[in-house]
Amino acid sequence: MHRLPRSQRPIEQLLPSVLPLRPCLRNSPCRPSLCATATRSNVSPFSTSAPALSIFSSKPDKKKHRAFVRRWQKRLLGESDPVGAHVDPYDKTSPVRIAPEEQGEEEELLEEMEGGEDWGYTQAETWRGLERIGSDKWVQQWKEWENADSWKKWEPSDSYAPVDKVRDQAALKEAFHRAVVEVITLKKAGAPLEFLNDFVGRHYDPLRTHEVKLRASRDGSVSLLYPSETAVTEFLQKFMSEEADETDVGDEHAELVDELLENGTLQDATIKEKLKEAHLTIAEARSLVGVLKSREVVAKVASEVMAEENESAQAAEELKLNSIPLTDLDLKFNLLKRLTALTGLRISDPNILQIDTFADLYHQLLAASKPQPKKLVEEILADPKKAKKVMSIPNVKISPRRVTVVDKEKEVGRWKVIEYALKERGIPVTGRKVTSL
Amino acid sequence: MPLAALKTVAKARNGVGAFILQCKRLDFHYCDWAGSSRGMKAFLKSTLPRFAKENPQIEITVSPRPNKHPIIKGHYINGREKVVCVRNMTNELIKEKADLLKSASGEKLKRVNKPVESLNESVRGIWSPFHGGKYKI
Repeated sequence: MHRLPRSQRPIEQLLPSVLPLRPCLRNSPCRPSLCATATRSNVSPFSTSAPALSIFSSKPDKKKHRAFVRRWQKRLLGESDPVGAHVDPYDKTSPVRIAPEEQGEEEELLEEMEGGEDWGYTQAETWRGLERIGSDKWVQQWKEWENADSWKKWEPSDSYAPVDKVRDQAALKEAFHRAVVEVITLKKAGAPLEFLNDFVGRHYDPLRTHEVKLRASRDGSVSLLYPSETAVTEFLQKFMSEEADETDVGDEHAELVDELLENGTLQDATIKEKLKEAHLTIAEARSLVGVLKSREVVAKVASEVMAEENESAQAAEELKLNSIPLTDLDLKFNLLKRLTALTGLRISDPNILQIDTFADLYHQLLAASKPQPKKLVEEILADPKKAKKVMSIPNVKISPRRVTVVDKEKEVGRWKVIEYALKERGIPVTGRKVTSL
Repeated sequence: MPLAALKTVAKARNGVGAFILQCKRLDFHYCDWAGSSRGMKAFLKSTLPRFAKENPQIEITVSPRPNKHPIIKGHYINGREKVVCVRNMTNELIKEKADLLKSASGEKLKRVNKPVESLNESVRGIWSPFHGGKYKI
């Protein structure tokens, strides 16, 4: 079966026999041109019969007619060439050519007619490359399916959290240590924590966190013992400069800001003029001052943090996570964010609410690293306490899979008899081969 | 020879006799995948151990029934079965249904009009003209 597009043009224009039945109004300025073009060009391209001439209309004078048309055309449009003179309607590039979507409905052609003419039709053997027909919804789904390949190019390394979750306990401990060190360092330096995951990736550890030691200070907080001062200072400086770039502040206005810092007020008339010249608003100038001030302060803060931390850490004992409370919600939230970015593990909200100490957080992380059981039986067996509680009850029997008819027959000892009887009659024994429950 | 009191061999239950629970087995079926079994799974995890301990005379079996709604099926000593579909029910509602099946007799539900129902309709029996005292007119 083959499909042919049906034309939307009225059929009487294609049929030459219809035309003579409509006599043209010769005196009208428009009608003659229409009639003339119709008689000349509207012969059906696939018609095999000769164009029939009208018996009612007299033979038209072509020269007079053309002159008449050109005259009116020149008056109306300002052109002397006849309309459509340079347009070949059968050319592929022609604007007159009908767009495929205007071709209308499709009609089926009978198989008998297919063999009659040689139109180069070859029957497809596979569906690939054929036209798709369906509803709008279906077409949309099809397009999405076709575009699915482009999604496959997405790199997992671009994701916020790793696609492959960290399951190894040693790696989890390392990630926990790293998150605690990074978040507490930035928190104590007063740096904005929301940029941490953007600035420090998973594979890049500028702070060398594995060398930093955690200690419990006497006031019940975590102290950090850094191996070298330079690492922390560099880290904080880099971080703060990155954060400054995040706020779209360049060095182009540095001189102006220096002046602002020296003079103080932004409301001064001369400074207002300078701001105008630099196309800056007062709010933008304020933010500039803030950022540059923070850059200056960074180095100072870093050294202070280092000194304080090392002093307190040296005096402190070895870290015992159980004893350190995690009541600061901001710290807890940023730790969770960082842990998710490092490990790909997510802790659910009810579990987050249960976290009161650093130890709780670590245990919740370990619990989240274990794959969730998909079956109820696995879930019961995964928890030894729960399993013991259920399995120790004598009147309870739990099956890990569906209980079939064969299982029921086996339970009462009838299956052997049935199997023997089936074999004796040459009937195949169906059912599960391994039926142990 | 000293006198000895007779030993009691059976407890006198005011003439009523032993009570036997009519429900002998309860089957709990659930689906691991479907959301309608959420309450059933919660029941099996948290409530079932206690329910089973409270009713040691009932045999309890738990098995998955994939791609089906969760059900509880009760087997009774009269040979009948009763099934309750517990789809989308919570843990507490499922406990109620389990209790209902446990305490059911296994018979078909009937309308009860009289306060007392007995196999022997009258303790005195049906009156007969051929028995008892003769009346002289």
